[in-house]
Amino acid sequence: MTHTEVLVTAVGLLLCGGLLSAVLRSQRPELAVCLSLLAGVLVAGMLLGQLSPLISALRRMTALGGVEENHLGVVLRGAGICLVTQLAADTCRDAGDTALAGKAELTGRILLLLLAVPLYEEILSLIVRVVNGQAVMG
Amino acid sequence: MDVDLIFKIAAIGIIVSVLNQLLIRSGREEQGMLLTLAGLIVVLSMVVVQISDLFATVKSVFGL
Repeated sequence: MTHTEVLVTAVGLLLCGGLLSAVLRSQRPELAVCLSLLAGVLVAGMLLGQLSPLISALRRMTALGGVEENHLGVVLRGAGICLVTQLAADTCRDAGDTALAGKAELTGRILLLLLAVPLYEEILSLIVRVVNGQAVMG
Repeated sequence: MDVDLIFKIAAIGIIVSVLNQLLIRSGREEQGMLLTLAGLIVVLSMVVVQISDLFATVKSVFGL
């Protein structure tokens, strides 16, 4: 699949989904929400399939820069959590339930914080070591 | 095959709303309600498969 094909397919799917869900919205709002959710899920799945060269390039670059491999893993996992919770929050907001959308975003934030806590601890322990005057080189 | 699914759900929605109008006009509101519920369940069972596909892709791409 070339990039142009991806673009055209995504635009076509989204336009079809958006127009048909606008048709359904006045009669059956619950099915309209299902329809827009399905269109979003299909497009997201297609785009994720295209993402693997980007991620392998990122891995190569981090290996070049001497960054630890699991740090990139943390960033990628955070991106995945953001994607999933954003999908849930947008769907809830489309269905008119802002409170549930807020809860979905809260879930994402909490999981991201849990993911990032080990990194914070690492930085803090580094700072403590530097302030205490122990050798940074070692 | 992706667009087919979208069209299928739109068709289900239109058919359900037409049949619902018919049932309500002939004075069978409770059957119309059941029809709405059946349509929603059919559509959800189609959407859930795609969502689980997406989650599997997300898991494999982002290493969750």
